[in-house]
Amino acid sequence: MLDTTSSKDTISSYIKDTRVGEGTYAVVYVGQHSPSHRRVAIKEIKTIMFKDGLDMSAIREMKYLQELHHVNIINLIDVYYEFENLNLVLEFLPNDLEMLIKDKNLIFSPSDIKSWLLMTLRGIHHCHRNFIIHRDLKPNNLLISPLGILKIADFGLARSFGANPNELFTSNVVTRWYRAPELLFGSCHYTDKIDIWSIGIIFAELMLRTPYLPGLNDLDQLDITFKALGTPTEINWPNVSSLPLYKNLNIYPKPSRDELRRRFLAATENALTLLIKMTELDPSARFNSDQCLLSPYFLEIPHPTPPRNLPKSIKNQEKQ
Amino acid sequence: MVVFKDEKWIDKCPICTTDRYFSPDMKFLVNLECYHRMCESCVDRIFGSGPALCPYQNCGKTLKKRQFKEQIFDDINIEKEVDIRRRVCKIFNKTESDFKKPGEYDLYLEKIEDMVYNLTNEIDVEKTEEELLKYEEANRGLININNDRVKQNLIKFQQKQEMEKNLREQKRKLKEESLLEQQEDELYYEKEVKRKLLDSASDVPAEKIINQLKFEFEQRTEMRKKKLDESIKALTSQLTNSDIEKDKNKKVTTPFTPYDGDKDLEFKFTLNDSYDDFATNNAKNNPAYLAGGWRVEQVYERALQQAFIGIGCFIDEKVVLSSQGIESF
Repeated sequence: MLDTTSSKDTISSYIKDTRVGEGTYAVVYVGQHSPSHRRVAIKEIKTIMFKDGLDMSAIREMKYLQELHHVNIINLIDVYYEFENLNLVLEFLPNDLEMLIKDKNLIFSPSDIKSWLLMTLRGIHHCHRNFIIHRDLKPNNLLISPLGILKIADFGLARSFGANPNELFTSNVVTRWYRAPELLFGSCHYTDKIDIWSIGIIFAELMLRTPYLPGLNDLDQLDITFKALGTPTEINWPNVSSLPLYKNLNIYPKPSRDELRRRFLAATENALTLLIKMTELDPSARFNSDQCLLSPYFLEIPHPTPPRNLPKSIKNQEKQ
Repeated sequence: MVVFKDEKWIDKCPICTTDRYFSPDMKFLVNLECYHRMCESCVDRIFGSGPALCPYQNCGKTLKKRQFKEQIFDDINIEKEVDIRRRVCKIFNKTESDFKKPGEYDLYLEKIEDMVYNLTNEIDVEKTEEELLKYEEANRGLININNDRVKQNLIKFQQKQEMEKNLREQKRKLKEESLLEQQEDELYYEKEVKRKLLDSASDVPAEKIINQLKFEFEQRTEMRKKKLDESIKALTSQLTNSDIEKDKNKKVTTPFTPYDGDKDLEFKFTLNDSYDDFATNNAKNNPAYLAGGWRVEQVYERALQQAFIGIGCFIDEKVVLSSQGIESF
């Protein structure tokens, strides 16, 4: 558990080395825990910028990561306050899945894809059973440890669900290409199924090695999604017409299984079924994380690659 | 989509600067002589009326139209190496079983690699070509025999694939037939029930008649299922595939656990169908809620889970387990 009370010891025990990235609300450093020489990532939250206190995403990240402990979720090691700045100490994870997908020198075998998908689903299952939606799943937020274990990171948009039905959720979440259709329609009462959609799109991206639904803007995203998967109607998605942005749609037919088979040539029948179920337009027909994990796809040959044998980016190995 | 700087050139012909964006059907060709790439229409235009000079500056090679072929690999060096390797391996085509001493085959492979490397990187091209030619002339008979063997293996592989395809087709047909039969039987059953019930001559109670017919119908369904399973099994056993056997032997010793051994199997409560809850009653049937995938059951479930979580969890045991650092995959 976190030990924020003994802040006097912790201030001096973390050293920031190099700056590796900067987000809207935080600067990320690679650092060291000086007693143990353990490599860590330190996220320094810019508190001075915000007049009304801390940025929302920093609070969310802390709130949820304190609760979640799982092999496939990034570990929040410590939190400390220094020079009027709040610092989150996180596991140091040098790679992310996006880098691997873009590295054309790497070859993904079907068992590699299965392994990554399995680890992502295990991580998200842990979130969902604790009633937390991640709301920003994309290859860029799936980090990979030096031992090859995939960990879900960036809980800046996460929130808890299923408590009060009168709460309105904003539909302006999730990076556009991975946004579920109910979000594109502006639904304010979505569920954990939006994460499953994102993972389904990531699954497709792992097989294709290129983004599956790369919309140019929000309108184009609707069009490109339905061009690929068919336009929803009241028949295959009950009540869809009551969503705020369901209007003026181009009507595309639903692709047949054969057509999808041609689109994903390397996929086995079980893989295809899982993919179809994860990218089901109607959220209530979409699989939940339990159903995904119990899919026969994970039981059939080839078995998932053990994490340490997964393809790794060469660039970052040199850095270590 | 983001276009990366170094990827830009991929979709543009360097000769006529036609962009794939404007003509999505364009194809790129390379030739086996200098591996300079250009689009199909350029090849037609420049080499359509006979051999001509390569349009690349400082190249100076004379090319013919039939030397051009479609580019398979993005990296031109790989394309070139693959072509050269194919040519060399057609001549140096012995297999491991052709050698008696264990080291000899390795030396042979080494020699092939050297030649491919030299030709790809244009080191001692003339000398290597000469060596290749000499070897070909000296071993012509053996080369032909080996090439035939490769061809036969390929044919065998294709036959096997054909067989597997047929098997799939047959299975599908069997399933379809069985389904059709089942549907017919259902119709028959419904008709039969109506007929027997209307038959006033019998004074057997209606329930008994229905049960009797239902029993017979279920038995027939069961039989059909069994028959289908058996015929599928018989079909599969025909194809005693060595590959499948191999995979079976390779079985992993640890069983696959979808949750990584981490799952609360059951909760200590049962969920009722509905609760009278003023906070959710309005939302329960609201289409805007339902369309987003929202279900009132999730609210009930969460409330109950939060109320009961931790019951039956003994912290001391958990601490022992986690200190052992149990990790599996």
